[in-house]
Amino acid sequence: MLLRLIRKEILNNILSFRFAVTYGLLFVLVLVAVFLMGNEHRDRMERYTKEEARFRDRLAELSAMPDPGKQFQAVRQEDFSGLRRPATLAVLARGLEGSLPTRVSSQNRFIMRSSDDRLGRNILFDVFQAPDFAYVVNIVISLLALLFVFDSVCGEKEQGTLKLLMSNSVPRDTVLLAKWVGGYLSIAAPFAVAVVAGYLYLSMSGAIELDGDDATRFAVILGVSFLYISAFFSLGLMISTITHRAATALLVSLLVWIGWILVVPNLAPIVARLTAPVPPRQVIDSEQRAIEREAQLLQEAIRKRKVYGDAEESERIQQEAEQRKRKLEDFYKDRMSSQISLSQNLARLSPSASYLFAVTRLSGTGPSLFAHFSAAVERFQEGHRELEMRAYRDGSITFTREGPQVPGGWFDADAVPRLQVFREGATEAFDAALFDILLLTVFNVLFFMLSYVFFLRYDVT
Amino acid sequence: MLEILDMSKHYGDVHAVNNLTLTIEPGEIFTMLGANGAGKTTTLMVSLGFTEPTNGTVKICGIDVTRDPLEAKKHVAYVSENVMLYGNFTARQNLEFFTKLGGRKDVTDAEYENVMDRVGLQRDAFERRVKGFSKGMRQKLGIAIAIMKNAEVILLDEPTSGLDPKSGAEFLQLLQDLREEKKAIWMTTHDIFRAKQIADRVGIMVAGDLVKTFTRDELEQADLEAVYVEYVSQPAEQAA
Repeated sequence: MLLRLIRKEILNNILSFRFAVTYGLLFVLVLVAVFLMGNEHRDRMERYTKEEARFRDRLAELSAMPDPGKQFQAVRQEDFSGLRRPATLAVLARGLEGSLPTRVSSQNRFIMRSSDDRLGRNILFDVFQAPDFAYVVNIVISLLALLFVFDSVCGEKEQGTLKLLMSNSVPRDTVLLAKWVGGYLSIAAPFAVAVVAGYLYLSMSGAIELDGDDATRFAVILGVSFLYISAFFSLGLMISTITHRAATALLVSLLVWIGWILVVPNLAPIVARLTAPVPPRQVIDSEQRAIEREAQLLQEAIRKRKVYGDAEESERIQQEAEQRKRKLEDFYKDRMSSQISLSQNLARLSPSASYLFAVTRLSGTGPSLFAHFSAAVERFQEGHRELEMRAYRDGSITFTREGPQVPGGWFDADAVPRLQVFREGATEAFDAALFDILLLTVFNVLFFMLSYVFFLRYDVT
Repeated sequence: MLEILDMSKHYGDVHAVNNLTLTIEPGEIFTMLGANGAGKTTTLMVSLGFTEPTNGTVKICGIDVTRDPLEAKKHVAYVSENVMLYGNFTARQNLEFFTKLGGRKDVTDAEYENVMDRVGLQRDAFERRVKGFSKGMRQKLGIAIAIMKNAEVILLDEPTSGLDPKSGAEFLQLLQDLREEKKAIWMTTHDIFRAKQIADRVGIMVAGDLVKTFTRDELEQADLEAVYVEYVSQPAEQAA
């Protein structure tokens, strides 16, 4: 019985004009997204490889300098670049990949963006950003899923076929389950075909190379995408069981879609900013500068006293000032983290946010990339400062009128710090995304359960 | 056999059906006349288990429709006033789907073809999509579906409305054949002439009440049209 009804649903869908349009749209959009993002990733990787080679050449050049003194001067003046390797799975979910710099400076705390990233290409690419796979699924396919199912029950009622169907000995739960399975397969199958075609393009064109870890993430991202589509499908089914006219169902579906895709995720950060405010960064900076100035004034006054033991007191004042600055910094970070966390949780009222959080986390381009990147930049710049300081500290360098006196072989190219952004393994990324995946599952179960309850009481006449 | 025992259906203050008691035996055609809103369709909907009666019971082949609707529906076939089928399917696909849904297994192609011939649907229409069918063709296909279900009770809701005279006559002949096969047939209609022509019994329903029933013999002598007009013209309380 169930299989017969599922077959009927699938056949009815396949023979409809709506299916042809959906199939075409799905195929074109997924392929276009994969094609554009694949090319973008290839360009990024080419730039990265070129800069990496340039960096290695420069290190070799510095190592080969015969005069240690001149070598020391050259190394001191060198602005070593820290290069960030593009995330492979940004082809699926761009996330922060396009917003974070690909190159940072070893000397300045100021983070530079690679000139190739923006200035060397058509700026309109930033105005009209290429839609990535996650965007297509999040915005377009969620809408297609709703449009596919919104009249599944009420449309049949309006058409008159539901009465004939239900005049047979068919349990209502079987009818509903068949509608879900048949309808979902009708949209999931073309989506799967489009994804396979996209994957074949990516692997055959050499745009990406997936290692085992990436392949696992890729598979999980696809699984989450199917889960997300099914959440909207279940929602559409529920809407069709609470309405009695297709036009009403369409209107309700569009309103809910707009609310979930556009309103909730965009409103969440605004609400979070109002309910958990964070002082502006400038205020914190100026407070920290004031603490520093206060400490300097106190230290100056102590120096003027010229009393034994003043050096210890001056050190204590310095330490206290550092502690106060750290506290202030921690306070700022805590407040900011609470606000971000509140924004995320509010946004999770929409499956769209859960989907994006999950897939960007899995592709390594989510908010965690920013945290890992910031930490890596700090480590990188600290490493460079340390490299220079170490040379002074161990006393191997002395300064004379002729310039710095440096023993030969002091420079070790392999010891030059590199920018290493921490990359979670597939398991850790999955664990981190698990909450959002569970939320999507809950949305699925909830909508289907509600559809079931409403359909049991549905007036088929 | 269809048994309706003291069945009422109320929607708030609206009494759609009042204490209706009626039995339709195997091999009997019962035709229910009544103006729009008289309660004919509501009675059908209750009989199909689509809506529960406020009180009373409806039994199909001894099975209480309210208590065990799935079992009861195995024994009933339904043809609506305007048969709507899956437009993207061909006539054959619709027929096969509903036949199998009705519980029939191992139905041969010859059986499908026979039933199509029986209801007067052209062979070339068999493989055509139903969305291009006229109302008459859809009605015939609906009857074919009902026949293929091989149910003991057949409920027909104004099945001849909109049919051309030839199709109407063919349809009546088909009903007579089904009566020969010992089906219990309930038909609601506005067509007094056809009701008189085919029915074993005719009932007149006014404002939820079955106000008058004619047997075959009574029908031969009565001026059904005059009686019907008289009843439906009266205020509801007076008719009851």
